[in-house]
Amino acid sequence: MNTISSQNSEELVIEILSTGQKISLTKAESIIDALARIGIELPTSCQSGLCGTCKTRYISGDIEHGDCILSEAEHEEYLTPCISHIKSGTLVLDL
Amino acid sequence: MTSKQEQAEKKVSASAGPATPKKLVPYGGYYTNKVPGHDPELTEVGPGTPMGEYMRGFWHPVCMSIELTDTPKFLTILGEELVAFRDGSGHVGVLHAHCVHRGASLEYGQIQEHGIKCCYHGMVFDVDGTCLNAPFPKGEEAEAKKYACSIQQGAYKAFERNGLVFAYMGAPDQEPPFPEWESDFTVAPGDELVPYSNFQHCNWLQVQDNAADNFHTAELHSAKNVVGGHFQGTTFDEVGSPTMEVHPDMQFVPIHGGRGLACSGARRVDNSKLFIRVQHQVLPNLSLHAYTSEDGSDKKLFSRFHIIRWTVPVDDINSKMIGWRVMGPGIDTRGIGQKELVGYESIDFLDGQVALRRAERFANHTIKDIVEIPADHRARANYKMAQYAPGDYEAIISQRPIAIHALENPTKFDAGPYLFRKMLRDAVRGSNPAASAQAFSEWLKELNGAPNSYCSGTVFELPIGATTEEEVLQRRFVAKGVIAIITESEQYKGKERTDFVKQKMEELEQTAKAQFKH
Repeated sequence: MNTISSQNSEELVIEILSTGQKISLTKAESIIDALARIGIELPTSCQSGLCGTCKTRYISGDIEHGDCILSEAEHEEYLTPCISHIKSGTLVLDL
Repeated sequence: MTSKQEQAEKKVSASAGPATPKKLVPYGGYYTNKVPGHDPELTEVGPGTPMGEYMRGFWHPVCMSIELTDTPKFLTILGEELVAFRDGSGHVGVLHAHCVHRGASLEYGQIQEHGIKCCYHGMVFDVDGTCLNAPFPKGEEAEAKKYACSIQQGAYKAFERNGLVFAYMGAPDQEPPFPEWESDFTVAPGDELVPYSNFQHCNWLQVQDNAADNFHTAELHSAKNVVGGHFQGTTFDEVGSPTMEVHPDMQFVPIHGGRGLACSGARRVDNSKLFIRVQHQVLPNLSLHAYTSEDGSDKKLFSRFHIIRWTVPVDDINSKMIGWRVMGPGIDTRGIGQKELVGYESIDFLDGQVALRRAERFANHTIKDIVEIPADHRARANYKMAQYAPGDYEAIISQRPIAIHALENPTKFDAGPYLFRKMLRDAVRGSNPAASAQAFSEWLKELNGAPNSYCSGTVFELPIGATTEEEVLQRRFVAKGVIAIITESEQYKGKERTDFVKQKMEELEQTAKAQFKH
């Protein structure tokens, strides 16, 4: 969980588990859009956390979930990157 | 990276059965022809089901007072077969239909001064289910009494209020207060609560979904959607509620600890006025609707309830919208409500709300009559006319007897019903303890049974933003601001609260005028 202690706590970062790639993003930018910048195009449909098309597994991260469909237990392992945001630090996605 | 198709196949619905692979193949209906199951957790309401048990923790209207006559009324509510009657002493009984002796239905029973007598062997049951008499032969009265004391007909506490019969079907020791919203349902002096009951041939949740679905009005209820000019009073264009024809910009805010949802919609009236309509959805099945005929012509601060509506499950595939229409000059500033159209299987704001269209509903009957309800929507004589100009009834019941959530492809504009479903799941599962039936009851007790509501209609004198972007920012600022003001007013009651809210709304108008470019 705490692999980012040396980083600026204000900086928001997505890390791709399989490749180790990292992307910085702002609070205003969606995770979907940030991933698209490095060529990772996740499928989406409703773009507002209702349908689950973009549901993605994550390894670690401090997440503000904004969806209406995942249970609390599912939130421990999954997020909907179309609507969810990183509260602080690094989000490691199982991609 | 996996392919798009594999990604889609990994999709798992949290709320429903197995995921259905999404295959975007032209002429590919073959790939999507399997219909998965409905979501039992939220839709099934019979005894022992999660939602059924939750619902039994609340008071619900079960029928109209005019349905209680000199013969018992057979009802199904929450999947239970019941009879409702008003006995000779004026008490309302809601009992299990099948006599606890040997099962004959009490709908064939005889209403007594106290209670009801079963037709088969004459056992008499009071409104609380106590057996008052078992007719044994002369000389065996002692045994009769002993027997009577050994049985209890299933009964539910019930009362009448403004033409509706309410019942509580949960455990007696957990009976909640009846919620007197705003202590008087915001009925202005001179206005009245007019009861109505509209049957829906489908599961309760899709009817409730419709209440939080603020985007369908601009399509389903729009004249442009009527085929070939076959108008039938199903659109707001025909009845002149101009603000309802506009797509609202919605803000959905969970309120009261997740026991309710405020749906705050901003609609531009004209270049000088902005209308903010807040609908209040209360778990599990109540909705409080602001003025449905607002034209926004005059500034108006904090107008209140126009419809108070429960969506009551009959069984898993039938339900009824039952509640009150507030009528009179206080709420209905345009004076267009029609009381003669509000009642059993009818409501005045639009046609197409029930299986019978008005032409058939009133052909041989008045609003005082209990009419036959067509059971099969496709077998109706006016089926084709309903196809030309469908109403809420056609849209809602044709989502299947129980809508299949796993097959839905929501847009962002479906956030209202989806958020409300999530709140229901949290309540039923216990992941939001504040929304449990017991916590809800405790909350009502703390408020002396009279909670405040967010339901309101407000017309601000606010010029349109200089640019579309500016207008969007402004309307969202105001829509959220209204919710914040009402939240802030929670500490007050009655007139003190109304004055507080109106003062704050004036300030909000001034702030928006100063903050945005016009």
